[in-house]
Amino acid sequence: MVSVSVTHQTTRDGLRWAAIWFAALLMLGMFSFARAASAGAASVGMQFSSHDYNDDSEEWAVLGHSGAQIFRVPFTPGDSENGNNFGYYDRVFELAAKQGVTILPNVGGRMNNEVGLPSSGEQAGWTEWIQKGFRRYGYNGLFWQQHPELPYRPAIAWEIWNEPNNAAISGTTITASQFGSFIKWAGPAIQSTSQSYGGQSTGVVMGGLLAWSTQTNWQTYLSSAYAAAGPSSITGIAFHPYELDTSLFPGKSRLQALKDVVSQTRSFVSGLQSGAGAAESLWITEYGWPAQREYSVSEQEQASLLKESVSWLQGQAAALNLHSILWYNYRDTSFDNTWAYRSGLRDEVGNYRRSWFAFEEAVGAPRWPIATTAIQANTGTLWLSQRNGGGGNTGVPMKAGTSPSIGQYNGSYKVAFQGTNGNLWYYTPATGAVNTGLGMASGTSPSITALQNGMIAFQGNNGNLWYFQTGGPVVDTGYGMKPKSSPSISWDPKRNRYPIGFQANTGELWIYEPGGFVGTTGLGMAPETSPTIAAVDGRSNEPNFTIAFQANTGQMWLYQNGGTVASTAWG
Amino acid sequence: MTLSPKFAISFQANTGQMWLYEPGGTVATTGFGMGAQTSPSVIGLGDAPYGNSYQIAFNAPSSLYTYEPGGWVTNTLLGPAPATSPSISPG
Repeated sequence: MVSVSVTHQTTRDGLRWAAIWFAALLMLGMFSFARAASAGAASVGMQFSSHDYNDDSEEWAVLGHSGAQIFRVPFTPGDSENGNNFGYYDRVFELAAKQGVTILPNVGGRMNNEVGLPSSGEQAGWTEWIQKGFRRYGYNGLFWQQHPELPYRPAIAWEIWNEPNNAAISGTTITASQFGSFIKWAGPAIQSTSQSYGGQSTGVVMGGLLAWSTQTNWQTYLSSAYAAAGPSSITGIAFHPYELDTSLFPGKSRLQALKDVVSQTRSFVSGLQSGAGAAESLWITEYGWPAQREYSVSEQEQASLLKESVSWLQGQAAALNLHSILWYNYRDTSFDNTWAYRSGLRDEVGNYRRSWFAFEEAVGAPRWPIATTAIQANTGTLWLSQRNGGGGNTGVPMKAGTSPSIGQYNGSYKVAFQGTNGNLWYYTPATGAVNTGLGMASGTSPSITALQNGMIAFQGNNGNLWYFQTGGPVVDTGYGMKPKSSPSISWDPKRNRYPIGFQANTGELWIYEPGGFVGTTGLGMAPETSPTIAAVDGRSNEPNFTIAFQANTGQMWLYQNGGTVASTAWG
Repeated sequence: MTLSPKFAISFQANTGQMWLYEPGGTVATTGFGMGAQTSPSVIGLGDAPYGNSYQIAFNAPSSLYTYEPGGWVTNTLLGPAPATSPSISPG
């Protein structure tokens, strides 16, 4: 697991508010709980495939449009400095609450950061840590008291561990008996705190067993672990029904295989410990189908599977006592080169797969994003035209003969353009038009990253390549550009770089990456033309971006980082 | 000339018409004329589950148009400034 640096210090654990405030908060809390999981309905949500993005405000601005009700986040001693600094989680819970999303903490990890379960010697310290975490983010949590400006979205359940029956995830073998023995003290540590501090019971879920068709003997594992833990230690059981390998369910569709395993799991759990298991709720905290790599389905099939599975699971939620349906996952990463990091509703670059829109439809969220075009109209002002018929005249004048550049930004969009005063301007629905005060070369246009971050590249009025980000850097790169040409910028998430393609004052195609590669491709460009660049989703050993440009032959050429060059032969 | 991160490249060919190139696939003219000294802009749409996979915005001489696979073309009736190009975003 990747460690995340923490910047804030928790200072007010002892802070308490007046009784009247608590009453109001608890009333609000009951309302929020109803929203997260109304009776008979399971909360539908998702998660990241690694926790690189969990505290990224721009990602949460996008997630807020998805309609997700619950989001699963690893909750570990390591990411909270063993309970001494919850700054990282403060940010996660804040960002989620602002989007109306409830966090499902996926509790795991040890006080010494080693793999495996906490040892008996760690029990006291681990218990103190998780109880501190509960008192911060659970019912009546200090975090919510300290932030009355936020919607009240306490954790409604705590899922303990992730795939203990999967040594590849745990980093070591955890036996069912060991896991059950751990749950036996860890579960009550959370529940007792909820009852004494939070004033009500919370969900304590035994965690996330990998249910890979019939291959993990997971039911045997569950039975043994449950026997060791005892029914009173938990309120529910989480599992990950992955029906990916069609050779394991011959003659069945993927959807039918999922239906069967979920139904069978309910029956199996209900029979545990002479029927004691019937009281346990079920939580699907991971499931999904990848759109790339092994076990992949087409993007259209992924979307259909998502929509049909959510519909069926919601319809069966009351009968199954099913409390969560969490799609794995929100977005691809290059964390590893397997299906597990290619199951996203968005690909690694950030393109929206069909499954993104299927998710919105499944939960009844309004369609978003909606394709938006920016244009300098014949009024000389910036207009926006949206695919749903929206948009209109912003009334903001633009420099004649220049073009705007629009990119998605912070759950909305941002347009960069040259204003009539020759400066770089940008426009967002939230800010309106903003003059950056940065001069641009005559007859040139800026370029903004397409899918996030709002980084802008432009030719400055000194003829050099510049880049600019609101609240971030303003840099004159010192590299001269050909007059009347414009740069093109992209964001490469694989390397967290911003490659810029531009026609240098030599007439050649150059590449500039802030903090990275700078140099010429050696390829001549047609006069007064500009390249266009895009990050490319792919394997780690494949190109990160492609540039299309008009070569000095008059034909369109393609250049990929790594040096691959090809003429399309089209004039 | 713009490049979608995933789907296609659209460009004004020397015939004055908009062409579409799908890497590893086909190249063809859309048959639509473009304004002089202008470039189209393309994005992937990811429409679920049966919609179109990309959309192109381009300036015909007198109006901003959008184009989607299958020949779905919309005239926005919005007149562009001369020798300028539109830019399209997912939203």
